[in-house]
Parts: sequence; C-alpha cells; structure tokens
Amino acid sequence: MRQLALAGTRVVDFSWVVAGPMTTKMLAAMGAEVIKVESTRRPEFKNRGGYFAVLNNGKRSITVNIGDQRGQVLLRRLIAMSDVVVENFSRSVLMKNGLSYEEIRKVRPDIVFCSASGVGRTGPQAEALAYGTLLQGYSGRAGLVGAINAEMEAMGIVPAWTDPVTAIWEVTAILAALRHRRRTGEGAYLDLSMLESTVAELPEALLRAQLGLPPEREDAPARVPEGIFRCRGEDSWLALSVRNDADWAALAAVIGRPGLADELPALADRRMARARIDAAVGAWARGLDAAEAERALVAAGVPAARSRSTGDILDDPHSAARGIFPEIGGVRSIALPWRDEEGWRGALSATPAIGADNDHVFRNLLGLSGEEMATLVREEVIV
Amino acid sequence: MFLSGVTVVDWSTGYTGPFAARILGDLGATVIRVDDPGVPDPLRTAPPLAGGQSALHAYLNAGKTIVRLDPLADAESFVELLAEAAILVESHDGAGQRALVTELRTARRDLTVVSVSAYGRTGPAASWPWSDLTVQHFAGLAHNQSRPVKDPERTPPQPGAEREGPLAAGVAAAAAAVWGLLVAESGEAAPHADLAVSEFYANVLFESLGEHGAGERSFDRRRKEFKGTEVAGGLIWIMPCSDGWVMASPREQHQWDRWIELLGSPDWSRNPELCGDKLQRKRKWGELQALMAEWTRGRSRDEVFTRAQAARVACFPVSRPDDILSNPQLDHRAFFDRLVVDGHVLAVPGLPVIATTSAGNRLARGNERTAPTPPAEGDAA
Repeated sequence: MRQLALAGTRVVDFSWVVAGPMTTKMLAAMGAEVIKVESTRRPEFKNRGGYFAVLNNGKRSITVNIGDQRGQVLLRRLIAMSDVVVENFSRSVLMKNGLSYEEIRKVRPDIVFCSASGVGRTGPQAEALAYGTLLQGYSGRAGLVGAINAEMEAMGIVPAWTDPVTAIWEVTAILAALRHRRRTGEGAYLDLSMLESTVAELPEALLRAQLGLPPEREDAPARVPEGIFRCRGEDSWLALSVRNDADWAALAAVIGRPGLADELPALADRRMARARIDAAVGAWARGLDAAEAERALVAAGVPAARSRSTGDILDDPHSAARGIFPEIGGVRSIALPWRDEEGWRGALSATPAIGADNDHVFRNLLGLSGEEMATLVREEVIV
Repeated sequence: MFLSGVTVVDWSTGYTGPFAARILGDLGATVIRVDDPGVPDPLRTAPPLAGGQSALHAYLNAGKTIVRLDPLADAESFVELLAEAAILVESHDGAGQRALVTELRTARRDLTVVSVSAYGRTGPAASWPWSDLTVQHFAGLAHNQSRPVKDPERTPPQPGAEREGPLAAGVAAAAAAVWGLLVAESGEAAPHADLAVSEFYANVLFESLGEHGAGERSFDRRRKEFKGTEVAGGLIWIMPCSDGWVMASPREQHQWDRWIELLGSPDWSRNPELCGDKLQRKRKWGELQALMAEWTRGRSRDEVFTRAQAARVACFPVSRPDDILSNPQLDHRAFFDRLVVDGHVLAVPGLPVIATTSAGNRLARGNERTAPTPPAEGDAA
C-alpha cells in the first residue's frame, strides 16, 4: 500500500504514559513495525483499557526486565536490527540500563533515537522531575487559557494539551530524520523538550510581552461579536464569530435585529456597543436549541458551532463521514490527523495484549530457541 | 539539513499552513511563499504590531522567499514556480483554486499537496463558515478544556490559549507533508493530504475517548469529587507564592515524604485523616492545598521550585510570558530565534528539538531572521 511510507521501518518503543505512545501509534499507522517494550511487573502496563487502548493501536508488545543484563542484551540485539528508538525515561534509568543514545549507537550507528523529556536533556534543569500537567503551567499556557484558580478549572492545566502537542512534534521530527537517513545513511539524536513543544505554539504571548502590549484577552477585540452564548437546555452553548461587516449584517438579520446592523455597521461602532450587542445575541440564543441556532447561522454564512462534547463529536455525521474516530477492537479510537485523496487515514489495528509478540520477537527475529526462551521466562528476564 | 534539497511552495493564509511551511523550512527545506493578491492574507495586518508590521505574520513567514503572484490569473508562472517543488501547502477553498490544485495533481505525480482547512475538504461540514473559535467548539476541544468544573453555568466551554490550536494543527500539517515526501521519494505517486484543523483536535480528546471506551456517554462537565482519573485534586497541587503560583506533584509516597520534610514536617502532616495515604490525600486535597500554601506563600516561586526539585519532587512555577522569555533552561538550549521587525529585535520560539545527526551536524538553533519584505505590487514572480 503506497501510503505506508514507514513499511519496513522498525521502531523499538520504550515510551509510556501519553506523548510517546501517541507518537508511535502514528508511526504504526504509517506502516512502521512498532515493538512496545513492556513488563508485567510495571503497574502502568496492567490497565489496557481507557486511553491506553486509544494510544497503542497497531503495535507489537514484548515484556522484558530491562533491569536485568540479559534483558538489556536482548534489547540491544533488537535495536541493532531496528531503525528508530523512542523513549521518555528519566536520565538515570537510561544510564543505569545501558539504553542511552551513546550506548545504543555503538550497536546501531544509524539509529534515529528520539528522546522526549520534560525540559530537554541538556541545560541547568535537565534533571528536573516533570509531569506534562505541570509543564502546562511552566510553559505559560495556564494563565493564557483562563484565570488561575485553586481548583485548576478551565485554566489550561486539565486536561492534557502538552502531551498531544509533544507527540505531533515528535512525529514530525522522526519523519524528517528518517527522510535524512534514507538519503544519507546517517542516523540522528533528537532531544525533544515537552516544555519547548508547548511554548512553540505561544509566539503571540511572547511577542505581546516584548512589545509592551496587553495579553490578547485584554486587548481591543478584533471581532465583535465573538464568543460563547448560552442556549436552551442543560449546559448547552453556541460559539459564534463575526469576521466582518457582512457577517454582522447576516447575524443581525438572523437574530431579528437588522436595525442593529444599520446602527452599528463598523467594528469600531460594535466595540463601543459590545455589551448591548452581546445582550441582544444572548437573548436570541437563550430561547433556542443550540443545534437550531447553529443551523440558522451557518445557513446565513456566519461562523457558528454548537459546543460539542466528546460524545457529541464522536456521534457527529461529519466525523463519521471523514472517519476520524474509527472503531478498533470494540472501542472508538483516533485516526491520523489527515487523510489522503482516497480517504485513507492510517493503518490501525487493536492494541496488543501484554507480551503478545514475545514469541515473534524473541524467536523469529532474535532467533532464540524454545528452550532458551523458556529459561529466560523462568528466570524472569522475559516477564 | 533533514529536508535539504526539498523545495516547498507555501500558498496559504492564516496560521496553520504558513506555520507548517515555516517548520519545513526550519527542518532544512527551501520555502517559497506565494503572496497572492487574489486572496490577501488577513494576518498581514493582524496584531500584535511591531512598528507598522504584524509581528505574527513576520514570525510565520521569516526565512521564506516571497513572490507576489495570483496563481489563478497567471497559472503558467505558478506551474513554473512549482517545477522544482516537492511539496505544496495550500489553504484555499475557492472553486478556481481547488480546480487548479486538481490540475496540478494530475500533471505532477511527484508533488505532495497538503491542503489545510477548518473542517476538511469532504463531509457535511466541509463548507461551513468558520473561525478559530468555532472550530474549537465544533471539535469538542473547548468542552474538553473546561471539564470538570464545579459550576458549568458560570464556566462555559472555552478554547485554548491564543493561536495555539491552529498552530499545533500546523505541526500536524508539517508531519503530513514529510509523510507525503517519504511516499513520493519511495517512487510512489505523491499523496494529497487533506488536513482539517478540527481533526487535529481529536488527539486532544484522548482521555475522554478512553472514558468513552469505559462506558461514559454523558460527558457531563460537572465536577464529581474523588473521581479517580482526575488530575486536579490529589495528583497535583497549585499554591500561591510571594510572586505568583507554583504547582507540585508529590504523588507517590516517597515523593510525599520528601515534600513534607521540605515543609518542615508540620503537625498536620502526622494526621492520618489528612495524609494517611495517596487515596486519603486525594480526598483531602483542598484542605492540604491550603495547609501547604502556608509554607509557599512567604516564598518566591523560584525558591519553592529549586528546593522541591532538589528534594526530587516534581514542581514548577506557573510562568508568565516574561518568565518564559528569561527562562534559563530555554536560554541555555538556545530555543529562541531572534526576529528583526521594523527595528525591533524580538525573541520567538524555534523548533522544540535539538537534532544532531550521527555525522555530528546539528540543526541550527537560536537563528536570527529578518521579517520578510513583500515584493511591491506589480513585481513579477
């Protein structure tokens, strides 16, 4: 299949939690053979439902005690016949288990080694203990989403943003490094920082700070009206934006207040009368079902969307038509963020059972005999 | 480096397409930007302004060669411009532009096209009017971002920070472009990637998709106390300092023990009702947060951060933009590029990766770039 650009590329995946697994899932969707290194002794690999099942499609699973030297030998042999390593260990775990890039490149000089960490593998804070949630505060994102509050509600801390953003940067960097490798035979070490991955999407805040301008939320609005309005029914909301004067005239007509558009035709007028306009739109929306309000505005050419929950967007006919949330292994998952002209959007199969591919990897790839494997299982190296 | 020898033509407006092309340039490609008088880029005049120029527009397009060309009016020049290109990034939904892209695809089997749009090129919502705000509400991102909350009536669903949504989708568009390049360089027909910004947001819903898999259907936003998977409330704490806020996550027992020692082992820490075990701390997170704040309140963020990390407890300050600009870690890693716009020298984010090849070559960091000067009206491509 021509879309499987990574067919024949083998990835040894030591990553866990979210960003790394999301990365390797996308690589698997593009045809890579992803071998996820797990252990039945580690609690994080036990629960294979919930979001684990969403992030680990299309991978193989092996179980190895990486703290055991024989386990490390097996892994180095596997890496010697692989193309990519993805990991997000702490530095001490990497060093202790002989899995650092310096060690790995001795057995596979052209490996593409992607090391994702909280703030990067170099610098004065390289050893800092980090979780993605905390980095959402450290990156400056938290104060920009909503007001900081002790309950951490709607302020950019919960739910996770840094992880999926890091994952898409990781995918981009690995694909680019693989392209370089295919042309030159050279491998690469990718030291990817979750902090930097999050700050990379916040240029505006940094520019405003340097130019002495207020944050966007406090600046004169570029569009009036624009915002979220309460509709009829429980927790039901409509977002809308007026991009220009034509949108405004259309909106004023839909809400039955065409006179407002005549009275306040330009953005400067609307800025002055923002509260009055918001009240008029609000009064209209309050009596309507959000879907009905959305239909009316979209038909009039005004950007509008009912604020959909995850359940709503999973059931939405647009999502269904585009196949973004395929059902895999009995649960809804997430396809690649793009599709091609044939509607292809990634090869995805069910999340493997833990250790499901021990036989394939240790016997077929590494050539262990049944007896050798049994010994390693008995002695808790394959575990 | 990674993409050396690749030419990208950027015929896009807004945030997502131009950011994708910028990333490809940072990865080593040569980027030619088509400044199309037929479809003016609204970002050209968007705030924040540096002097008379949009600093964001300058940031997104610095490093690109800019040519003024209306591909619909002069298709021949456009085809010529694309002759050496391997990738076209475009964001147009007009019938004429669409037809031109289709024509190009027929003529050029080796040209990867990445079409960026709000909702995609197909499907019932493909032609809906949109804004960055409405797309985030459509896609479930805003709802997800404001869940859970104590009082949904007072806390409506809200979008992400500033332009981070459409910019993050630009990273996905860059990934799609490199994927297409890999397909084409393997000798296959180059693909046409249809990237919907709304569908990048699907990845941000991974936790709630996990809940869906476990049977959740209502996706009620109202906060339920002690819900096991909730991060806020027992896994992380936020505390005031003399100069802002810090967040800490002494989630495991050994981390908790070291954290409490740092706080001077106060009397309350010996109360099993409050601190007995992880579950108990989760139940009492609010009370504990207030008690821990007694220690942090008189100290600076930097002191709490430094001392907590020295005790091997995950803890970071909550940064403001100024803090980010002077962050020693980012500075040490030369994360920021310098952008010169109308006499201002501005720090802007670079790539979030230090990439070194096995031959020892490194992708440049800390670059200095000058804002692009668009060719004057009438200049030929």
